[in-house]
Order: sequence, then structure tokens, then C-alpha cells
Amino acid sequence: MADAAKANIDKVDLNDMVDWLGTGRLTTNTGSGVFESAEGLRYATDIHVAEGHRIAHVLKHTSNAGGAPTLNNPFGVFDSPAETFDLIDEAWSIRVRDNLPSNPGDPVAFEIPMGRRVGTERYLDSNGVEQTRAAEHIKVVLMNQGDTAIRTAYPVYR
Amino acid sequence: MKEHERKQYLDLLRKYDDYNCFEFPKDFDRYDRSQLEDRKSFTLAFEKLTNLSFKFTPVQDASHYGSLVNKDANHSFFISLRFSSFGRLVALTTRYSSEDRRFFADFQRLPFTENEIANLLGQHNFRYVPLDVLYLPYDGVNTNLKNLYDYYWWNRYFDYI
Repeated sequence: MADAAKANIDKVDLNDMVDWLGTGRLTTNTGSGVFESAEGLRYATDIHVAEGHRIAHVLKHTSNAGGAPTLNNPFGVFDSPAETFDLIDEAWSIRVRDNLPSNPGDPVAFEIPMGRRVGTERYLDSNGVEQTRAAEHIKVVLMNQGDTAIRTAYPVYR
Repeated sequence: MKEHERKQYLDLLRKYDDYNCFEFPKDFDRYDRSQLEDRKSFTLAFEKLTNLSFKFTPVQDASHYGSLVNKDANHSFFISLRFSSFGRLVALTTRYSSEDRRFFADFQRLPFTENEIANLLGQHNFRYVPLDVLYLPYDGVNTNLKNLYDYYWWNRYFDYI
């Protein structure tokens, strides 16, 4: 593994993350760095992201401190950090059950209606003042088309 | 594309590269109203050019901040413009090939030429970059991304991170 990759992975304490999540529903083979959900979604180490691991990347969306909206795009925050990965699993099971297609022009992205509030979408209004609105969809982004490896997931307003 | 044109585009891509930033450049202005207004005025002009309606969808966790896609798009053919968070760069795609694992732009199926879209974007202060250049291997200054297998300038500026 490249030094740069290892340096990034070292930023993330996977054991701490799993303890903190507390659900025990993500399983891993020790040392592989890949966590798998009950629905078969995989979260792996990845040097493409500053956080070094896809779990940490998703966890950015469990706190207001994880990001900020801009005039051009919002920032989604899950309501319940401890339930985040279960919610993503639920979203994926809905996508499979209803055979929901990916977004046109975006073959790795799925916007899945959850039928209830799952989070908040923070956005800037036309005056640049931050506002919030209930998010009832979860956007799931895969690493590759047809894959089950997660790139990211976050709540969206649609 | 002529070699000097390719070099000009690559110089443009390298100009906005950053050794450390993935999603936004370090000087990114989240209150940048001018880009919002330019995108809206471009959309009106683009709809007039194509006689089609478009919808902008913002994205998160990406090096582009959203896509403008025709409302009657389907998976075999769409007109999608991705707006990068870096350098006001814009890319156009019309098709994704799962076999090749990349996007293509089929200009022969479009009601405008590549020069026309480049000029129109330029009139609204955006910079068009052809896919032929974006699918060259990334060789910029971000050492985390450099020398990765299957990593292109497309991924650097127009993909999810």
C-alpha cells in the first residue's frame, strides 16, 4: 500500500467508530478494513477521501460540524447518528424492492424516498441566510455502477 | 483535437488543482452569488438553444456541486452538464457506458456543436472542458490521487469523492 494511503487510513480509528455507532450491525473481517451491512452494502478504506474510510465519510453527515451549505448546494444531516447505517440499509432495501433506477446522467446515484423524515437539509436562501428543511429522501452513491460498495450517503430534500 | 488545444486544456486543469483539497478549493466562497446567477442565466440561454427544459440538481460529497440535466432524460441518452467546484469548469455528457466505465458526449445527437456549448458557457463565465481531456490520467499535484489506477481528471473535478 502506498504511504499516502496508509497515512490516511491511520487517521481513522475504526474500532472507535464501531464502538460509537453501537449498533453492532456492521461486521468486518479483522484487518480487512471493509465493513459490511446486513443488506450487503460495503464500506471500505479509500484514499480518495480525506477521512480515509467510507464510514467516516458518511459520518460527516451525522453532525452539523461535518459540513456547511453553500449558495449552490445544501448539506444533509441525519437525525440519528446511531441509526444512520440502518437507515441507509433500509433505503437500499426499498431501492431493491421497488427496482428504483439511478438518476439520469448519474448512474451511481439513487435518491430513495423514505416516506418519513430521516434528517435535515441545511441550505442557504437567496439572501445567503442558512435555513433548514426536513429531508425525506436518502441519496445513496455507489463506488461503481452495479456495485454494492458505498461511496457516500446522505439525507436530501426533494 | 490538436495537440496545442489539449495542452491548453490540461494547463487549465492543472491551474485549479490543489495538493490537499478534494471537494472544494481552499479559497472556495460558499456565498458566491455570481456563480449562482451565472448558472441561472446560462440555463435560460441553454434552454433557448436546445428548446428543451432542464433541471439543476445539487450534489454533496463531490468535486462538482451539481448537474443540469434535461427533464425528459433517460438512461440511454441524456444531456447533462456538471458544474465543478473548481475553476468554474463544466463538462457535458450524454451517455454512460458500463462496459467502459466512463461517460461519453455524442455531439452528433445534439442540437448544438461542441464549439457552440463552449462559447455559450464562456459567455456566462464558465469554462467548458471536453471529455477527451478529462479522461486523461490525473497527473496533478494531489499526491493522494496521483498514480492511482483508473483515476482521471474527470474524477478530480467532476465526480463524487
